Amino acid sequence: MNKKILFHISFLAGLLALLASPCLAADVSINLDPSVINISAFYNGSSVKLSGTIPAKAEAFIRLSGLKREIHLKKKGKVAGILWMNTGDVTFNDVPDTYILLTSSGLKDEIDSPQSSLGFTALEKQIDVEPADSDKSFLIREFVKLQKKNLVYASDADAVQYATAAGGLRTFTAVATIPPKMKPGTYTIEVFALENGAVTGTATKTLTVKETGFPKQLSNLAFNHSLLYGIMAVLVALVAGLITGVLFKGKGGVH
Amino acid sequence: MFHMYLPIAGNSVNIFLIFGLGGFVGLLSGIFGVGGGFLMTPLLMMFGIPPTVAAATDSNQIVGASTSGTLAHWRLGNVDFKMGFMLLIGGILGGTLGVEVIKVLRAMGNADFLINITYVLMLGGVGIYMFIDSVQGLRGSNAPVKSTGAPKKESTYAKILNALPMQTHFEKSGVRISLVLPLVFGTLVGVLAAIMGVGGGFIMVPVMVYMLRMPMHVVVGTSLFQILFTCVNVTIMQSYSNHTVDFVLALLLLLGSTIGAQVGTKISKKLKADQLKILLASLVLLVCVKMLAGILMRPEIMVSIQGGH
Repeated sequence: MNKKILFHISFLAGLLALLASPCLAADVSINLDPSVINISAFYNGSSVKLSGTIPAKAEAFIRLSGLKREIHLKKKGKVAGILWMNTGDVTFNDVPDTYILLTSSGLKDEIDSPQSSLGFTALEKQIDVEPADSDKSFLIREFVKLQKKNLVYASDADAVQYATAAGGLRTFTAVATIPPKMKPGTYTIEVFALENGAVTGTATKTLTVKETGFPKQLSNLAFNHSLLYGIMAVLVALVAGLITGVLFKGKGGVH
Repeated sequence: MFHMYLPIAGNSVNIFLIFGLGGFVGLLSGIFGVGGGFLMTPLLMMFGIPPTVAAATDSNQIVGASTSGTLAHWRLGNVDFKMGFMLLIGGILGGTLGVEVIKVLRAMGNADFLINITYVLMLGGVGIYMFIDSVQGLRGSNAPVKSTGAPKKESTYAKILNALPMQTHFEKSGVRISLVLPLVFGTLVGVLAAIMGVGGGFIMVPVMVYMLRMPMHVVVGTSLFQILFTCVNVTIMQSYSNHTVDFVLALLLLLGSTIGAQVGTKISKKLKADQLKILLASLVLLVCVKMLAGILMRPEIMVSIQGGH
């Protein structure tokens, strides 16, 4: 009999918790300014202002990621005992091209913690590595280093600022740096509200990066009229070479 | 403000930095008759350009620099068109063959090991030989241009040369050799260049000097002429099949390299054959040491994106 009561109580508690979480989720929001980034001829990266709300007791963990694709890598290792060379090929499936993490000092450990489902180690669960017998976590760690060098993977534990809480909520702001190497496409920006190490709510927005004007026309030519593009590239180079040659002759440099 | 976005490379670069880089490599091109890909491609990669885009765009840039350089050398009477065409035909045959060789090597699984070893041995061997030869040349009879001949012990080689059929006089180079010879050496360099993924100017120049016994100044002009055609072909093929030529990057490089090639030609004109050879030998040895260091030291990151060496 006692067991039955205990079961009912725990069932009710579970139900309450379940009902409570969507309530908190509704308290979490994020806004982007701007939500579209245009790549023009003189583009050199950009930045996006992020703002939103989380529960007053929570901290915000922001993740910008996107453009999942398959990537082919060369693995390096020792050959003949002394030479460092490529020793094999590995393929990563479902790798995000960009993975930028922004948070505040309280959640600093989430960035690299092996237990975190939000930081860099979370990539291990997402990415599928071939061949399967590869040392997956080592390869992914090395890949993260490579991407960090290109600035498309990054983290900043001092990026998120909070305003004083009001009505059980507090506002956060952060600035995400958009590196020039971030390819055109649609990216996801998620904010996770964390309390005592647990995610209590999330919100998501999309960020679009697109080419406009000259870069757009040139990409179109290169991918859709590739032969014409190649011939044009050669002709321009030839003409530039000839013009320089003629100009230098005009200055009487050679006999 | 001083940056431009490269739509194919998918990154932005500083305009002046790339202009300067083009100028420097163009200068080397004008002086030595090399395309400079062995320097340009790794430098571009250092500035965040993907390896495949760096190599293909460099070819596009070399079209401009070698046009400018060939024109300047042609005015000085330093281009042997007949020899250049024969080497070119050989180079195209060799390039096609080399691509097949690479496929076989890759299937065998140790392609990268062989490529690296070939690279280091070729650079080291060519560099040391040319260096010693030019030091001896500078020390000995200081006779200009014509003194570029091969070492004396090569008389057997000379006999073989004379025994080959289709002996032809190459007026500009001042040599009488078989037509087969430039064809064979062109093919050989083509195969090596394709395996190593480079234009091959730094192998072609020593081959022309030592194997075809051409005067150094004619070698520079003729090499540029031959490189021009190879790079026209590579640029169109890469644009068409792989979409890896970044026109904006090529244009920025071109602005520098076409001017650099002209200045380089003037410097080349002022230097003696042995001085030119010793400088090129030093450059080749420098790249060799860099390659060696690259394979002897533990890499900072243990993975790399496929497409480069």
